Parts: sequence; structure tokens; C-alpha cells
Amino acid sequence: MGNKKRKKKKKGNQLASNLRTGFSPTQQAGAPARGCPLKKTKPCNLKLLRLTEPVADISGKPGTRSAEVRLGQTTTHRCCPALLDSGGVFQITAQSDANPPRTLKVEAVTEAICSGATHPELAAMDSAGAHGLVAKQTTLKFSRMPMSGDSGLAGLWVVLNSVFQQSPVDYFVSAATCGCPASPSGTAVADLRCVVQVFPADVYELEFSLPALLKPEALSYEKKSEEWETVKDQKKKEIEAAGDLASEEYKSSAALQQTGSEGEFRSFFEDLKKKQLGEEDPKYYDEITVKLTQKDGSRSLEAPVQDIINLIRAIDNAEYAFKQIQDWIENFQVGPGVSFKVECQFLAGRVSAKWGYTEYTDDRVFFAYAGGIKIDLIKASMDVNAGWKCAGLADAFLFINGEGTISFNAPEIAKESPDEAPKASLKPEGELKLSGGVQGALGWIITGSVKFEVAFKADTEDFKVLCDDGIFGGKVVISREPVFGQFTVTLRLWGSKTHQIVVAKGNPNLAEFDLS
Amino acid sequence: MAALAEYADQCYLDRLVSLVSDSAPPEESPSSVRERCRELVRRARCCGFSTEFEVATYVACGFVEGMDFDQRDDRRYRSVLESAGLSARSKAEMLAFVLDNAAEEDADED
Repeated sequence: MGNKKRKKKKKGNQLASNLRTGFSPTQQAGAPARGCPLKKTKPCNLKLLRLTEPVADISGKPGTRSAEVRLGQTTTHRCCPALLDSGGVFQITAQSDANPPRTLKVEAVTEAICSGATHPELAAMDSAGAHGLVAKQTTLKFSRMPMSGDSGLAGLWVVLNSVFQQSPVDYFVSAATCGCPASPSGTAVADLRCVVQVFPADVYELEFSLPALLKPEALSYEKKSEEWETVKDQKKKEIEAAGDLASEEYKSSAALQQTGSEGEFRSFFEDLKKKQLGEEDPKYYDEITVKLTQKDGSRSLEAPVQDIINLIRAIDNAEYAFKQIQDWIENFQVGPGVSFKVECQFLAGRVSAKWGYTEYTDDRVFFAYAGGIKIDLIKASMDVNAGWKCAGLADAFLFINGEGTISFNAPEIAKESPDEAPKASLKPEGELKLSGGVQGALGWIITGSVKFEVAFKADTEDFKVLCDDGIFGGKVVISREPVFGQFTVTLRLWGSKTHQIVVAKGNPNLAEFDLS
Repeated sequence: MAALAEYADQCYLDRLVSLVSDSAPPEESPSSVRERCRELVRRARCCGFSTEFEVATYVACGFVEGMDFDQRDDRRYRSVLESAGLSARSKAEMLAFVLDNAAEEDADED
């Protein structure tokens, strides 16, 4: 909040307070005081202001809610009617103006009335504007303010966050009389005020399921290529090869050269190959299930899923980050003939959630949510066994194995009342640990071994899920701890010696998923 | 009697100046603040405001939200002032509420 606005807020609040305390509601402005203060007047006094919501939506169930506003009343929740002081807040939910408005009955209960012609005076705002009338009761109608998802064209994250970005809208309600109690010892209650605070009644439901985006066969290491290749890499090479072939054909054919340019011909064959390989429509896009429904009364909106593509791209990037595992495997320099089997999956799982503001049995509205989450951030296994012999004089044996899963798992989270705040475990669970070693001997004189262990872990930055601030947000960062090896050399004549060596440095930011 | 009325009027104007002095720009002279108060009091009376509270509320709105606050559509001042069914007292109560609420909205937007 900036200083300027903070100053203005303070000014506004202070002014409103000073107005009520420093300026008489009955004395004529700029005129000398008139009349005798002891003059008898006809009793005309308020007892209370009652608010009744006849058709309330209490956590999806129909019911009736009410509150009574009295002068000097201590605010009491968790009862019906709720008890409020003058100026108190009664919260309700309302749907958009595409639905029938939420109604609220306002009733002024008086002790006595001077004449039905001027009092009690009810003044109130609702979605239609400001109203005033001399009557004991009136009915107000409320719709929520427009939201960014109402058009149905907003993106997934816009709809997802729209409910968090809308502030409740306040409406003023008051009742006024002369303020002359029936008995001299009675308390004068000239007016009673309250604020009706309107929250959006929209209920959101999210079903979000991701396939394993890196399937076991999607990341493989082949010694012949000397580098890690994904299926995507392989397809890219095939498309390039198709283009090269087309270029060669073009150059050798005079007939083709007369029909168009080399670029057009190459592009045509590359596109053809892309279609054959399904590159234009990657199959995992079809396997993603994202359904975000915004239920606004009788109206149901579904958010488009285009935004999820950004998330997929982030995961794609993570795929390449994970390939850095190659860095430390190569450090072993174990020679030819070795093959590895690495299997890994990123971000496979399911999220189901339901949230929205809902009315409680008393005067309050709260943010209700329920849902479950199960996501494997990373799941991997590695199994390497390789032997090496050299003319019977020397041999070496390499082994690397291990597996693990790092996951978020919050099976059931629900907030069903304003007085409770359930907290889900938001920290990733588990780790992926790999261990291995190399043992070797040179004849019968020298034996040596290297043993190592490496762990992958995940941590979060401002990660939030199913809480009061949002459904999904923040970052998940996967890191690799430094790899240390215990290097032992044994010589039959001089004994053994052990050293610790750094096989690979740690990588604190191996992969990052930004869900904001 | 006229002198008494004149004195009461000046006293009320002094109280209004004291009320809004924090909302006026620092560079505005006291005589200018007083003149603006006088102008807003005149406009308030044209809207049917007559009591101390009613007139002072109108003047406060003018100083916090700008002299054209009653013409702006981005707040609810105009709709309140143009509501036919409301008494002057109720209008003033609502203006005070909108003034208080608008300040909070501005703070939230920031």
C-alpha cells in the first residue's frame, strides 16, 4: 500500500468519524441554536434493525439467516439471529446478474413512532442503487459484481484466480427515527446502521490430471550417440533428415526446380514428416485432463485449457534439465560397452478441488474449499551393472542403482466453517536416492573401489495449494545434492588408503516448476 | 438577530475549515480553503442539505474526492445524490459511508 493511498484511507476514515461526532444531525447548519432542549416531544425511538435472508445458501443447503442490529450490542457470532452493534457487517453471497438476485429483508423494529408520515425512515443501497422510504420494512436485491471469467473467454489461470481478486462490495443500510425514547430513562436510538457485504457465490471445481510427461522410454541413453536423446530429439533429427533428402532431390531434378523453390519443397517434406511423427499434436497434450468449472447459480462456465500449455512447456524444460544427470555419469569414464537404464517421470498425478465463498449459519461468509492432491513431482529409477576386463590382468565392475519418488500428497483437505483453518502438508515428501560404486583390480597387487551416493530432493517457494490465499501457486524446485565418492585403494604390500572425492557438484536448481 | 446569525455562520465555517484542513493540499492558502468551503456549503444547500451533519458531509466529500465528486460516475456519490426517495439525512449518511468505503477501496487497489 502506497503512502499516498494510506494517507487518503486514514483521511477518509477519520473524516467520517469526525463528521458523526462533531456535527449535529438535527441542528441547522450555520444557524443559532433554537428551541428549548427541555421541550417535550412525541416518543419516536428505534429498538433494533433486523436483517433476514429468507433463501440463504448455507454451504449449498437452503436455509434462513438473520441478524439483529442494536445500539451498543456486543457482536455475537455462531447464533441465529447473529447480534451486531450499529455499524456492524452482515455478509452474504450473491450470484451474477445472469441469475435471480439474492434478497434481503430489512426491518426496523421501533419502540414508538411520532407519525407514520416521516418515521421510521429506511435508507439502503443494493445492486440497483440507493433507496429511501418511510416504512417498517423493505426488501433489497443483490447481485455480485462482474468477474473476469464471466465472458467465458478468460484463460484458465484468470478464472482460477478471479474469485481471489474480487473484493467484497459493501452496501449501506440504515433506519432513522426522532430518537425520543418512550420513557425518560430510556436510551435514545435515533438511527441504526449496518453494512451488507456481498461476496461472489460462484463455486469452482477443478479436475486436473497429468500423465507422466516423461515416460520411461522417452529418455534413454545410447552410447553410440554419445549424448542423451529424448523421443523429441529423435523426431527432430528425422524431420531434418527428411528435409535434407528433399533438398537433395530438388537439386538433382530440373523438373522440380521449375515448380518452386528449394525452401518450399523442403518445408513441404518436413511438414509431411512432422505429421507422420505426430509432432504437430504431441500425444501427451491429449492425455492431459483439465476441467475448471465455474458454477454461477444456474450458469456453468468452463475455462479454456490453453494456459496449461505454459505448464507443459515448463515441464519440457525440466526434461532437459534432468538430462544434466549425464554430467556426473560421464565423470566415471568407465569406457566402452557400458549401457544405462534410466527411467524417470515428471509431474504425474491428479488434483481435484472445489472452492468458493459460502454463507455460514450466522452473519458471516467464509471461503470454503475441499479437495485432494496427489502429484509425483519426480519418479525415477536407475539400474546399471557393467563389467570390464583387460587381458586377464585387470578388471573393473561398475554398479549404480536406486529409485525413489518425490511427491505431494494431500488426500483430503476441507474447510467447512469460518472458525477452522485446516492446513495441508505443503512440503514435498520423499527423495530419490541413487547409490553405486566401481570396484577394480590390477592383477593381484592393487585393488580399488569407489562408492558414492546421490540424492535428489524437492523444495517449494511460496507454494500454496487449497488454502485461503489460493488453490495453486508458487514454485517447486528440484535439486541434486553434491555427489561424494569414497575412493579406496589397497596395495598388498603397503595397506589401504581412503579418500573422499567430489564426483559431481550439487545442482540446487535442477528443475523448476512455476505454477503461479 | 442578524449579527447572531452571521456569527453562527462564521463559527460553522470555522469548524468546516478545521474538519477539512488535513485534506486540502499543503500549498492551498487558508483563505482559499475557506472560500472552497463556502462554495461547497452553497452547493450542499442547493441539494437540500440543511443540518450541520448533512452540509459538513457534502463539504468533506468535495475536499477528499474533488470538487466534481457529485458528477463522477466511478463512485456512488452521484447515484446517492440523485436518488429521489432519500431524505437529506439519509443521503448524507450514505455519502459519509461511500466516503469511508471509497478510501478503503483506493487503499485496496494500491
